[in-house]
Amino acid sequence: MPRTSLQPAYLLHHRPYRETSSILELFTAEYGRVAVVAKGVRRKKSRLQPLLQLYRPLLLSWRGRGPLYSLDQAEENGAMHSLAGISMMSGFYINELLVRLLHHEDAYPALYATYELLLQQLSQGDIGAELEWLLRQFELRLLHDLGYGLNLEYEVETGEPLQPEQRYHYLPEQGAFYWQESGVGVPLHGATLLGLASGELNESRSRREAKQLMRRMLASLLGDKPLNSRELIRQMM
Amino acid sequence: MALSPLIRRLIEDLRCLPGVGPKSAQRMAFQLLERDRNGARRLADTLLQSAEKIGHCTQCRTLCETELCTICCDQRRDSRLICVVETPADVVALEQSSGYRGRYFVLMGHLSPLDGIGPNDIGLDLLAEQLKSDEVNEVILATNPTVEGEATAHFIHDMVQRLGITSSRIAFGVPLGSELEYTDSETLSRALQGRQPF
Ligand SMILES: [Zn+2]
Repeated sequence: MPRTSLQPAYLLHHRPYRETSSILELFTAEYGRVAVVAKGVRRKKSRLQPLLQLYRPLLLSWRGRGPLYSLDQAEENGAMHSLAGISMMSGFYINELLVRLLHHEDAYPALYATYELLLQQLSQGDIGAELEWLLRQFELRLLHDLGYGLNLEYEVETGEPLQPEQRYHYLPEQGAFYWQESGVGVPLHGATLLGLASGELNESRSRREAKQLMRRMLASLLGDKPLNSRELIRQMM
Repeated sequence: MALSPLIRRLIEDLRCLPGVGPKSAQRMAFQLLERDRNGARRLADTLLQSAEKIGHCTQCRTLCETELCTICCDQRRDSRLICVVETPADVVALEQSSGYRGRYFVLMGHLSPLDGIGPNDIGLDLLAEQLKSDEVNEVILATNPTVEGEATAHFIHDMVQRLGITSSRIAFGVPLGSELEYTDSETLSRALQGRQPF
């Protein structure tokens, strides 16, 4: 990667590095997830430190050779999304998903746009039950862009279109099978999958099923290590 | 110049101090060896004792070698007031400047879910116990104005509220000696929101 010049980016995570520096995990519009060293950023008088916050739209330049680049320059790119309370914790959850699942330097432009939009939505005060649905839509986009998109149209074995009131079992990486007593996979109704496809999921039954489905889908990618932010959100509820 | 193995080790070990590179470590080593052997012996002894004896105050979690720190022991402090901070250095800073007369609770960090640091890792189980049993009636949240600091403050605020205790967040503004032009927009917007009658 040549030296980049003021790329739109968000900070996903930072950890101390040596005495006064930090390693930043970034989500950038053009290069996807990028790791950079921010030298001296933990010094008291660092001008960059107040800028480099989670949920703040940034313009960043970095250079050097991967996988760990050097941060050159940082500017703010608009007002910070001020997430509060449970929305702030949900932001951690989203960031944890991205840090756990995105590969370095694969571009995900659509996911980046979805991430930015989600932060805007999360900053709109108390959004109540909508919060869960926004997270589901983000998870759906994430799975799709990682190459694990869901099959939301047909029953796998027969190829028959999904029916809203029909019950199915959904198996990760395969799809929906007609429900049967001994079936494995996430049990759900056709309406849930059709709703996920159309972007409209209003019934509480469907939303509950969608949550179970996404959880299973993500679990198969995340492996045994639990999501810490999910545990934190659970403790807050 | 060739240095003996022990001198090399001394220089190498001095570098664990913050801000000490190879050159300054070498200067320190020679200073101690050439001019201040007694100082060196005292330093070694103090370091050893500190590393072995200094633990955490069982009440506020700050660093100390006794069961309770001097602030927690001080009968003149107002034990109805607890100020929650991230580090022992924050306690020192507040003590030097603020005239605050309550107690402290030192988290020794902040919530950081992505690093696996949860509520109990920053002592919130201990804080909750104290709030339930003690006569505390106000908790001041003085975590840093970072997203993690805010999340930590929010989490504690929820916990404190459930126990029917008041909590307040310290105000943040433009740092003294800085220029508005170079202040980030979030800090400015908070400073404006928290403005006071002149
Ligand atoms: Zn104490």
